[in-house]
Amino acid sequence: MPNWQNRRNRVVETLSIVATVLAILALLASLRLSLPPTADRFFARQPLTLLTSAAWLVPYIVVMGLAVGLMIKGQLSPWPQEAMADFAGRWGKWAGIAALLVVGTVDLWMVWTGAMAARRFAPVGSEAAFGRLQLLNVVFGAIFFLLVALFAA
Amino acid sequence: MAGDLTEGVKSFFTIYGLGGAVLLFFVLLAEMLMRRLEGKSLWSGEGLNSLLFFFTVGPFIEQLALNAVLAGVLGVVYNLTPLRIPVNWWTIPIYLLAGEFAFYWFHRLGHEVRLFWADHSIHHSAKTYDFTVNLRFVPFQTFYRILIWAPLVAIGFNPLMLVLFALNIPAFQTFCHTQRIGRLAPWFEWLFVTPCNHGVHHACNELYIDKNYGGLLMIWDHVFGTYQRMEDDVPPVFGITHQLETANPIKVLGHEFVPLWHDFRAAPGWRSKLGVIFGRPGQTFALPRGAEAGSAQLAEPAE
Repeated sequence: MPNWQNRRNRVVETLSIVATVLAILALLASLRLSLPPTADRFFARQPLTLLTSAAWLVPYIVVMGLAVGLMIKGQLSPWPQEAMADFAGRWGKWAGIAALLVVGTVDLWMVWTGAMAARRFAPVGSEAAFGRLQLLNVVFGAIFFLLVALFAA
Repeated sequence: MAGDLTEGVKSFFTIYGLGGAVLLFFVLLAEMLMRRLEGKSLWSGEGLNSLLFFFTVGPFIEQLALNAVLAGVLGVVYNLTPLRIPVNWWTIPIYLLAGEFAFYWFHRLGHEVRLFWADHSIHHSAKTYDFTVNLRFVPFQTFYRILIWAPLVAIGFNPLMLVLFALNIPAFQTFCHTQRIGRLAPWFEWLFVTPCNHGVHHACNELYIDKNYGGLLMIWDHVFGTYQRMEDDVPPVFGITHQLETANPIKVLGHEFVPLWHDFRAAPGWRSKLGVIFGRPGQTFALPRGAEAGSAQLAEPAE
């Protein structure tokens, strides 16, 4: 294998490992937001507080728009295991794992986490009314995946 | 190179445009539902007009302008310069900081140069601060973004990376235009753009005007002294100092351009006229708002 190709593969692998670590942290932060606020007691100790901090969602928010756009263009599967196989085949094992985690996190937000985040920050008195948002989030997510399937087909 | 650049920009735009549109639709739907659940109407008047007009016209103008400007200016500059900053793992942080720096100054120009404020104030003219503010597109911003980008490209930054960065920031800030999140952890508010500190940016209280220009990070605001936290005893008043009493999109579009034109015509001498165009809002020659052109008077602070 030529030297430049070895160097390119090393760069891709390094970037993929960094992306995987960031994706794990974004998934952990998303899982925390997906639970009711009462579960926060469990996360109120180090290192769980740090590992599930909302700060890890900042790079993820930037990637989310790209991932959703790629899904609609049919260039990224909404099924995590398919996305993993595709990316691993093209860019190696670590890229596949990063794709698995990113797609899994996008799916989670599309069907569930958005409503839970809205409930968490609901103004006093609106919490009960906002309970219905979860059902609507599931419906919205289902419509989104239906559209992805239609566009991809 | 210009052809590749345009193709790359189009591809980024298509993918980000689609993804961004879905996420924007998602947050707008959420906004409507939450308003309904709170016993309010589905849309504020401002929000509905923003959807019907700005959301359809703004991206169209911006895409045309962006393609034309990139192919015409950035491609030429990138071809002329012998300098190249490669895109690899160790330059990504440099690109991030440079992209933030570019956004900071582009955004600051949009607030502190009257001609550009006439455009950017469209986005700020909403008196509500919710997800529908995302719909208030700024149609001509690419033209002054180029003032900041061209020097960066001239010293070797890859223009495609800058475009990618420019697309990331509105996608990120889609989630920041809301009062529903409230204040986050102090260190988080200090470092990142959040709904709370971006709310400061959208407020027209004297304390909050021309603050918090950051895109993803607040670091350049700290460096240049424009960071301002939300103070508990100063509740934000959203909008602009000359609040618009209309949601008519045509009036919103021209609400600063029209007085700018009147002031330019009435200003005595070229020095004064140039001051009207390139001076800081509120500190240039200006007719009293609502007065006929020609009845020249010195300005009250405008913005």
